[in-house]
Amino acid sequence: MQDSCQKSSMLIPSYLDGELSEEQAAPLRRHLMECQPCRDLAQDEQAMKRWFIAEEAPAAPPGFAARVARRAFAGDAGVLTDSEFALQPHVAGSGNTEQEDPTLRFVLQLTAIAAAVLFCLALAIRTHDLPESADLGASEDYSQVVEKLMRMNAAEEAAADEIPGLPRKDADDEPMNRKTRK
Amino acid sequence: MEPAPVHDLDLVQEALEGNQLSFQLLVERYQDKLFSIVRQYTRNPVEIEDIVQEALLKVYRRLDSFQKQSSFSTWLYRVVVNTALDFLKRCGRNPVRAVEDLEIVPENNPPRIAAPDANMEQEEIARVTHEVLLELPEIFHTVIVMREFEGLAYQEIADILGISIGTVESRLFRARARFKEHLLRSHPEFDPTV
Repeated sequence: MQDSCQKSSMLIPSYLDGELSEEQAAPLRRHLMECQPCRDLAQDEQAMKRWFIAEEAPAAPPGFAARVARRAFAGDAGVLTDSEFALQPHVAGSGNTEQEDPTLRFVLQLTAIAAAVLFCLALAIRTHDLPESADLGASEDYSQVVEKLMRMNAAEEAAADEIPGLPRKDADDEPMNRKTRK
Repeated sequence: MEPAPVHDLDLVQEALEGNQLSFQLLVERYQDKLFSIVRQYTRNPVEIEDIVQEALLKVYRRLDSFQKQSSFSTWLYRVVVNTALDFLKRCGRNPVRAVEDLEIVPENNPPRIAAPDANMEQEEIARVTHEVLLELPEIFHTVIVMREFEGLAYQEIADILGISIGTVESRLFRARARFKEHLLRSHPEFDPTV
């Protein structure tokens, strides 16, 4: 290959890409007019470009931009975090602050709420089951209570004496087997 | 008379000041282009949407670090391409890493390849091309996508990838040669010398 052909072969791709200045392109064009192998090479390069067909890309779904902007401003760090970009996250209006993982933040909030609800529930159940303080207080004097009990006992004994067949008070103190033998 | 379109940088500034609608307008302005770029990395519509959305969330998070000397679109495209490559890696569809020295002078006799048959459907051509591109190292894949599908100028590609124009030229030359090799390997019927 001649020097001029070698030089041309290096320039042809850039020439076809429209990246050569006129100063570079003019001598190349002259060379291509005269050199069949280099012309073939240029045609090959053109042929290869036909493989690069720009397919119609899928359109962004409706509302895509609004959704992304909303997520960005909500502090969404995304899923596919990249180490370079995860180093200095940015939150609007707050400068460079450390960005929490939104999932972790949500789980923590949920746990805190659940704990608060459980605590309130436990308190409510405990309060409901316990007797009121008024119920626990002594409403009468001890002596009055004893006197009342003695009156009740006396009344029971008197009633037992009046009803035939009903064991008397002293018989109540005996064991059941002895009463049976009598 | 329609109002003059708002400049990207103004929308960026407004978004930084908390204007959600401005960020939404930026997304609307570029979403079709982004879907088109990502389409060259995966053909699954759900994955395309996920990747574009992820890239835009990244862009928003780093909006304050955007260097306004470069164009917003350049920065945006870089994030989208990186997100797409990152996604492929996470899915185990790891794009091949180039191990060769890209600055060396490429070979002078790349293989020849015929144009697709006239009776091939466009969808079929696109499918074959997509399969071949996925076999290429990611740096070759990316320059082909940017140049051949997105029609970006060498300077734009250089800005997006942070490389020199000379490297873009060299990388494209090698990428096309590799594309031909892989295409001929899987479809030898397109070898014009046979």
